[in-house]
Amino acid sequence: MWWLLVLVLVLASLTVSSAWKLVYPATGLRSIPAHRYMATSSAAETITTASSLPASKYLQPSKPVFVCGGRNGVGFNVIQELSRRGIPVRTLIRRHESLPALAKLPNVEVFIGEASDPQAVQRCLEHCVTAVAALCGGLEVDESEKVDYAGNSNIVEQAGILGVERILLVTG
Amino acid sequence: VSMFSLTHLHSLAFHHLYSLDHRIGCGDTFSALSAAKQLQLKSVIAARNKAERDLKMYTNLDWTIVRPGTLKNGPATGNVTVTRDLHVDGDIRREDAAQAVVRLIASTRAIHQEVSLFDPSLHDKKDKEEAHHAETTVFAI
Repeated sequence: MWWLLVLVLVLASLTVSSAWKLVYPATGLRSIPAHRYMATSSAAETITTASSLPASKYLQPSKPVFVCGGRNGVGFNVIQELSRRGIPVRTLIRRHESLPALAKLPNVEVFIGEASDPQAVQRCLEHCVTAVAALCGGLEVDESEKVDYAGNSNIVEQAGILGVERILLVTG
Repeated sequence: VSMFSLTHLHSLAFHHLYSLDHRIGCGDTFSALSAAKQLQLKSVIAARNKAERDLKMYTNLDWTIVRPGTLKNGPATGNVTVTRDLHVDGDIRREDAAQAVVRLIASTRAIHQEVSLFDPSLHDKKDKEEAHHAETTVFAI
């Protein structure tokens, strides 16, 4: 009768392992838990962004800030915020769709072109002291290679060449 | 037909990324994503990580890498927690993230740092109780 016991054990282990795969279909292994840490900090430790800015050589009314990825999302809000504070902004967009919204804002100069195009980026970065890259491609491999890598690294490279001093990469 | 479908596909994919319900997860924040999401965003993250490597290794610019948490729409609350603890994940509104970015431009302390942004006031009490009570070191900008 020992073989019956072995058969039952084998069947049980198979059932357990397939159930395991149903729970964690992506890897077949236990997935890494998403850390969802929350700050337990008090209000005093949280910064208030609404107050006035300290003086900085990177934000001057005479030097434009280059913001790339201003079609929507954080990039567009950064442009709004800088424009509201009276700092000139230059932005590079790929499509004309977002032009009306950007044209309404004061102190904003809009250029049309690709972030991965060295000449287009050079044209925007001239006389700029600060650059902000908040680009967003898409989920396809081609698109992310073209925008998220080529675009960002082109901005980094041109900023280095043209003597831009400060650069912020909003990646996520 | 192909022209139309290509444009359409692109806008769909873009919309998908724009309306993500979690953070992107570049660099050290990758571990804060679940396995399925890591798989889904693999190409975007790989591309952005390469750009970050270029920035850190091949330039002598005063850089700052900003990693907002899960981006939400809505009016700014004015409360942003800026931290160097990259395992933190929380929500932040786009307007608040933008205000923090402008502040970070002016901050000399943020030079050569990677910072994560989120808004503690967006999380209700229950959410906080469920969360790991890790002390987040707040980075003054």
